[in-house]
Amino acid sequence: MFRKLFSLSRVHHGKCLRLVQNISSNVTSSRTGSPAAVEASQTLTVTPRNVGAPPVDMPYMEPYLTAEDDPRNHTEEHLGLWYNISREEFKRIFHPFSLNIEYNQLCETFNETSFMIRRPALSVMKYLKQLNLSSMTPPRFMFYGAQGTGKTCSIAHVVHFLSRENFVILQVPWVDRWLKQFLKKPAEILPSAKNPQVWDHTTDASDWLKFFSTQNNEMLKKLQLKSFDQYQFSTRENFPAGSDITKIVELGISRPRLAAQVVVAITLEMKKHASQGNCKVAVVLDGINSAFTEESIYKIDHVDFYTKETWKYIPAQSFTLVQAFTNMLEKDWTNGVIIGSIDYCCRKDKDKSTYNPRYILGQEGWEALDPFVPVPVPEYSPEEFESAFAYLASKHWIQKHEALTPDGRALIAALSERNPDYLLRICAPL
Amino acid sequence: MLKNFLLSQQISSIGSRFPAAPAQFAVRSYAIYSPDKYLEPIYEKEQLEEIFQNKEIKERLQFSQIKPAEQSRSWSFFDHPRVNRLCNYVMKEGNKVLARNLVEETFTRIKRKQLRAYHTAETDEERRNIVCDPLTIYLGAVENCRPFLDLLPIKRGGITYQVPVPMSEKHSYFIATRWLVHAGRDRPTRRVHFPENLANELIDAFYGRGRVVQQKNDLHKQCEANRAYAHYR
Repeated sequence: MFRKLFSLSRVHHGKCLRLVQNISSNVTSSRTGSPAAVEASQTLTVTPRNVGAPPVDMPYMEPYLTAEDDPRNHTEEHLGLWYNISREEFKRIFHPFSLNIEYNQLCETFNETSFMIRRPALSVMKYLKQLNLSSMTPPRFMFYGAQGTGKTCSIAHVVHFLSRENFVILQVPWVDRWLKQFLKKPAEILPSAKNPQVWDHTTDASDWLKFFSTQNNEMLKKLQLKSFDQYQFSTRENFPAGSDITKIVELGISRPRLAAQVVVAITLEMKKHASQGNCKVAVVLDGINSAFTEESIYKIDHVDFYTKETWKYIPAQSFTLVQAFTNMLEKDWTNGVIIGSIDYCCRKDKDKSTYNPRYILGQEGWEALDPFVPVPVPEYSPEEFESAFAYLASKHWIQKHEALTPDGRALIAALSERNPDYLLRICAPL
Repeated sequence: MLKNFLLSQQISSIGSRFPAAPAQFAVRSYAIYSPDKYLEPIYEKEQLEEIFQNKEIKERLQFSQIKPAEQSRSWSFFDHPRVNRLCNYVMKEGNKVLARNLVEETFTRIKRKQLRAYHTAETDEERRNIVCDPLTIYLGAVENCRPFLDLLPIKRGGITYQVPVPMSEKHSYFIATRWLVHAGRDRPTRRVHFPENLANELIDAFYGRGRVVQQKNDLHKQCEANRAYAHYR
């Protein structure tokens, strides 16, 4: 949609010249006002050319980097700076769908993964440091904002923080993936053994368990958690109380048919372990609003009395995996935290009239999440835009000398509305 | 702001941009400006500034008629006349929006592939040899694919001979770009998208390999073989 808009709009560059000039004067005036982030960056920049000298005529800008790669130590001084995650840690913590495709491609191109330190993620981290989680029901932090403003990247930053803080993380990279696949062939689902009205995912559930075990590999080894209850998944697979949690996870990975039931068992066990104080548990759900919709691509036979339709879509709450994670939203446990994002991208109708949480969640979702701390994720501020642009230019993503001039930067700022996603798209063919 | 651009475009398309067109369908609306009466518009900002500073040229241009600027052109660094040409060759059924998107996607893929190689290279020497600018690659590819001779069928004594004739510079640019676009459209499988295929073809042609360069060499060889008919021209 945006590409269409952009290519239509860019034939009017000539017309917007005057407008751009106005904006450029604004930007320069605000930059001379000594913003805290840019000032701090001058003290914190490290040697930027980690890939060696580029060809003489390649466009290049000094990036705003910080050497502080531990998110626990990030403070307001680091606002607007970029920090780097090592490749091994990135592969361990994140699923291929944890970030969107374009950001993943960019990381692959640059052969490194970096995030900008921004206020939404920083504020959540600050709250988490101050709260005493063991004496309260899990607080909920929900990122919301327009498309492409960095909700998913904020979640990624927080997840990095949580893994360093020794949380056991139950992360769903994109809830909507269980309901509407982006592939041609939908994933396999089966009616549940206990309740045939409810549906089990097979491969998706075992994939999630694999992700869970890699993400929390170190923590699970260290904690050696035992199950509280007895679980009988089939006539042969019986786990008495006190058996290893890792063994139950391994069963789910090797037997996709039972994987969904294993996910339910794991979530219930984690709740109890957290309440007992054995470990801290974080539930991370990106695109949480799709758990409360009637929308999926799966159909079942159903005769409607009025419309005479012979089928209907399976609602989200009729899937075992979705039920398992909505169960985690209840207030019957302590020593945990719930982090999510509210995103209209996963709405079937793609209604972009507003991104307000109440409208997107609907009555059901609002009641399930209430009360929560809404964390707005805005577009880049002028300083953040400058930092993002410099990072892209330092990686030679922008190959035009004219684009790096103040006029060029102002033009791109105006066209992208300082939206991170639009900025990437506009700079892509340059 | 983007929405405002869209709105302004809709409004401008409703209002009459050109004087009343002679035909019922304004298909040749730009052609009504005859070249002997109207001058070509100038899109380069620096060139315009030079003109404004020079009094003689300014006075001469002040009272002469100039064609209206094309909508798809601008002075900004997003615009390049040769890239605009490529968009026109890629375009089908007047769908310029799609054509431009495909060309942009092609450039992105070129840049991504080259930058990936650049950032994973180990020595400085390797890095110096990698060209990352998609525009340079596109222009170089066309330069490598330009033929200098063409075969023209000419009838002499009831027999049609394929006669080698020199090709004009403008035509050679057209032929080279068209060959590249056609090579891009001829995909190995349906899984490979047009931008991806075109990007690969352009990179190949830039480094002097690939089938479009081969096509040019074949044409030159054929002309060489038909050298005996050259006097029929």
